[in-house]
Amino acid sequence: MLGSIRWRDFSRHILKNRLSLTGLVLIFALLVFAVIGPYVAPYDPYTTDPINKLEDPSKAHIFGTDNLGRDILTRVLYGARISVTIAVIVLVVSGTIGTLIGIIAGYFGGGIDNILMRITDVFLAFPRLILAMAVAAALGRSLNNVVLAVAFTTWTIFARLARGQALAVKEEDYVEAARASGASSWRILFVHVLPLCISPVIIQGTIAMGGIILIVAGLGFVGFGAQPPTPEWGVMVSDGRNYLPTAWWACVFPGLAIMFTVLGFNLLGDGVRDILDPRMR
Amino acid sequence: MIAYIVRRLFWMVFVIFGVMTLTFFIARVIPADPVAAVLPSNAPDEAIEKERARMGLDKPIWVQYGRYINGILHGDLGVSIRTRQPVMEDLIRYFPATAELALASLLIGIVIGLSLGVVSAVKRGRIPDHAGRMFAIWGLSMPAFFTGLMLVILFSHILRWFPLLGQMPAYLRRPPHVTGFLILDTMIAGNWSLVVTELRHLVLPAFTLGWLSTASIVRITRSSMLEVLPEEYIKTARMKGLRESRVVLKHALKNALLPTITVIGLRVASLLEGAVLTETVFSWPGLGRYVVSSFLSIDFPAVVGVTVFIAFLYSFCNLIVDLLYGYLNPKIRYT
Amino acid sequence: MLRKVILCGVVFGLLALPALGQAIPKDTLVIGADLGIIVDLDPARVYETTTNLVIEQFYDNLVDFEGTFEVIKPALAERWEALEDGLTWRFYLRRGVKFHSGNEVNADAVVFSFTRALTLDFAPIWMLDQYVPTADNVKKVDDYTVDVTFSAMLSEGLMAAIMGVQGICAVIDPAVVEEHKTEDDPWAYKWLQFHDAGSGPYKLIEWLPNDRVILEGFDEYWDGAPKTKNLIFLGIPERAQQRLALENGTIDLAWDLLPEAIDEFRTIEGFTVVEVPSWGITYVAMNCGMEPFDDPLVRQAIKYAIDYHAIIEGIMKGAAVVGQTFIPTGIPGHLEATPYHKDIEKAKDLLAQAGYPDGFSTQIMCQPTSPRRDIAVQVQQDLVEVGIEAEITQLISAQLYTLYRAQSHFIIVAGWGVDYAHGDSLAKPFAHCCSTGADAPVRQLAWRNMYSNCELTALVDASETELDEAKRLEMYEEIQQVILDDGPFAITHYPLNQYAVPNYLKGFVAMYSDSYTEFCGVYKE
Repeated sequence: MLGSIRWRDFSRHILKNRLSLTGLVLIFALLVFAVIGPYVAPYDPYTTDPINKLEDPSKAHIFGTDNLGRDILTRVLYGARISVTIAVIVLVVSGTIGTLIGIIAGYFGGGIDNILMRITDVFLAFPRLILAMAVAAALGRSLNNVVLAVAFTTWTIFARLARGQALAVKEEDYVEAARASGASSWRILFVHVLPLCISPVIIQGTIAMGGIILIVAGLGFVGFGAQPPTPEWGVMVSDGRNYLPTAWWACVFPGLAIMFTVLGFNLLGDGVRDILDPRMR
Repeated sequence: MIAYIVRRLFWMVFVIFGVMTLTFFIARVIPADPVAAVLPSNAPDEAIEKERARMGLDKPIWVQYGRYINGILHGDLGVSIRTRQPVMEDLIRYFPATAELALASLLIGIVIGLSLGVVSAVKRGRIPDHAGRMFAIWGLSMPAFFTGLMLVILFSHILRWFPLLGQMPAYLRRPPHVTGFLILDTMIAGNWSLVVTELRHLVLPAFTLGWLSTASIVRITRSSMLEVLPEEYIKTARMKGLRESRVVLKHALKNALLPTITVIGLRVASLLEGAVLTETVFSWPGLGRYVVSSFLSIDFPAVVGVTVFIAFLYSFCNLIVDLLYGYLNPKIRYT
Repeated sequence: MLRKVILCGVVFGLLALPALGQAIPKDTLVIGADLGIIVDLDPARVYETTTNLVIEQFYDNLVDFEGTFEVIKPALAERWEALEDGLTWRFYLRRGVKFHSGNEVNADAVVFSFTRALTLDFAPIWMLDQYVPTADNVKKVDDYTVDVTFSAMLSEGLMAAIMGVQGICAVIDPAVVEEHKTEDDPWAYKWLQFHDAGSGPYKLIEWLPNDRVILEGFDEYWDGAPKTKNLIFLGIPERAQQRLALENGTIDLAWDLLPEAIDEFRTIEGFTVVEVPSWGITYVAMNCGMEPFDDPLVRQAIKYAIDYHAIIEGIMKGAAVVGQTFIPTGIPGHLEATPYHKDIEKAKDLLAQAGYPDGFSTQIMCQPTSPRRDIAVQVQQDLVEVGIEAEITQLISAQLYTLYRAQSHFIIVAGWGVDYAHGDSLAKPFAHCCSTGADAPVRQLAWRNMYSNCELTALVDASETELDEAKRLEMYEEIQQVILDDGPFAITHYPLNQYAVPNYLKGFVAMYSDSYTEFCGVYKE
């Protein structure tokens, strides 16, 4: 069912829905900032000036300065690029791994399917943040490890999806034909099954993006995120919270950045889910 | 039915075992020395070696794993390096506060979620629909710690409507320990004004977490209601002259409730995650803070113990929800 | 539907009503602090400053100190004197002093306490057993007199500093230990982890880990019952919450306020800011075993690259004083010398002389909390200006100290708390190192940073046995000078202890070492 979506209908539905349209706009804005951020930022995100720390938002510093005197607007802009990069890498890594595991399980079935699905169950038995924290704690604090930790918890979504696809496709005529003509299983997997998984995976990825960014922010907040002076949003919120309520800008602006980003993906994801839910038609 | 339960339990055990093994080995990969964390930087090395031997961390990893599994089978989750207490005791100490928070959050989430879901379905496509869904999605879009901080600043610091932190005021004594759950114990002791105070302390943290759950509940309620509303029996009820609100609530909602229950089960995980992020903000003495401290100080036994416990809790809740769903929906057959 | 809405509204309204009578009653003092570090209340085991603060309220030592620590106050010992052999000090105990249990504090109890601490041999024991090696060194003379024989001749100040160490030298009720001991726990340390066996002004009622510590005044305290009957330490890990709680009256005192918050309280009505020097040293250390820090010119260059002004005025925002020598102001032996300030040209010059005109790459380790982390970031930026690329690695204590002890760091931002009030407690850690291997007798800061200086080490050893106090202090100054010029430490400042005290709170005395703060004299107007 998922594989048979017609993209034109799909886009029309998304654009008609006001909520998902808003989401699309927010995501577009995020991508724009991620790309041009460093070029339009007014200051350097790393130069410290602690004598002028925690200054109120003003014409010179639209979002104020943080606890080391750095311009918050600049750091939020640079942070956009970091968040997008992390999210994309996580999706690619977990999407690849999950899809591979899923199609292998679905196509070959039997014992392999059982084992792979049980392993998936083990991963699903953990709340994602806690598993990510465990892995991040094990690997050490760095941005790369955050990516690995989050990917570690996200692949299961795609595994399930891909398995479903493989199961559906397995019985199709053209697959039978390919088998009959002597094509190897792996060939069938990669030529026939895999391509059908791409659309659903991307769609599912969109839906999952919001959650991914929140987990990354959560890790940063608790202390497993990027190392200073990297301007990652979750870490910025964590640093800034010590200065509430008076110097609220250090915490609020990065927090709002996270909020609008995740909101964008959630709204879009909601719209997508509406379309996929047959009850909505 | 029995066969189904047995099979589910069997898989649950398998999964928990896998969870334990996975966590144990993740925890052991770290090149850190949690013993050194317990003693300040001034401590001489001999003191550290002594402490390490005392805690049994000088044995090879297979021995440690074996001991650990053996311990679990006897109900012993090991001894926390940081608190020097059995992990099981630590969990029992901190669990009730988080459980109270989770339950209250779930309640708030359900009440708000159901209300918004019904409204959204009834007024589909119009402003209340969009507003309701937006509110719910908004809750899901903010990191729990951010929500908590903002709510505290707004409702506690600026408006002074709710207390700032904790489960109850500092200067009041806790009621005698009966169940371990604060509100229950206070009710048992008959101290009703304290119960009200404790509920007031519960509002902000519970709302922070509850807001996270509203999105999925709104979605599922809305879509179930939309499925049910065009049904024949609804039209019949309307033709009989029943009030619209009665039609909606008594007939439609009841039937739309079933899928909602499954969703509620899934929220347990997110509640635990949310607790991890918000308990620090509210100085809530629960499991969430214990999790954070254990992970940050890489307290092996506590990390593994807590993770196993949470996974167990989560699986258990899923099992209950599945059984409940099956029981309520006669259409499901357990083969 | 409407009914549901109304119901919700009513419930919400009821709960939202400001509760009547929210203020803390006058007979209760509530202190907000991060209690997460407290894991054990057994005096023989306690090592962290917050825990020391808590047990200070319900345990007593033989001697105590006034705020500046230069005045020794009699506590459980009324008076003391050095005996002819020079090594032994005789303590005359106060009579009629009771433990919380009602039992009397006498010589047996004192001997018992020291025996217990030395036998249990937990981590903090080194502060005592370096001068009192075995329980045999503590002898009962008669019911109210105890002799302590030290392994070296100590000045009164140093002796008092050691006898006054919190925890290890606290006097414990033997009867309580007797009552709760078991076969594999003959000293009842499991029981004392959670309970009280002391004689201090407060009694421990209950400790709820991570939540609160509840104390009640001990009416028969030898120095009079505490002025405020109930004392509660409330666990508030979130600093912003501590600040809010102090402002709106949820707590009477906040223990972990950041300098920014203290600054705000200067202008908030109803509060007064109290500031005293603390006994801490914050430093940036370089591992001489890692290139290029083995070159003293490189070390000097870095000492000239750091922006001390930005750290003290900016990051610490006035919650620190300038200090670059390892014995802080106020402790006997302090050397007043602050030759370093940010001089990029000089730093670059020194680097070029050392053969690094284009700088190099390195790594800075620090804890993940402010202000140390902020200092690390500032230092990172300072180093960029002289061409040094430094990567920051934040590590929680466990990992940080593991690497530090294993001498495998490059640059570290850390601090040192003074264990007892004499230069002796600092000279050894900062300057004693003649071999960087595992065989070294003292493996503290100098050793961890692989700074091997045998001549200096000999001087430290000599200062330990020097009887003439004046000469001894001179030796400390010399040692500090060498470390200042050549050592691996760029000491940035001495932090201050700052408190925002509500005006209704009277009798609060800020101590140099904040864990010695006593609350028995504090009351509310």
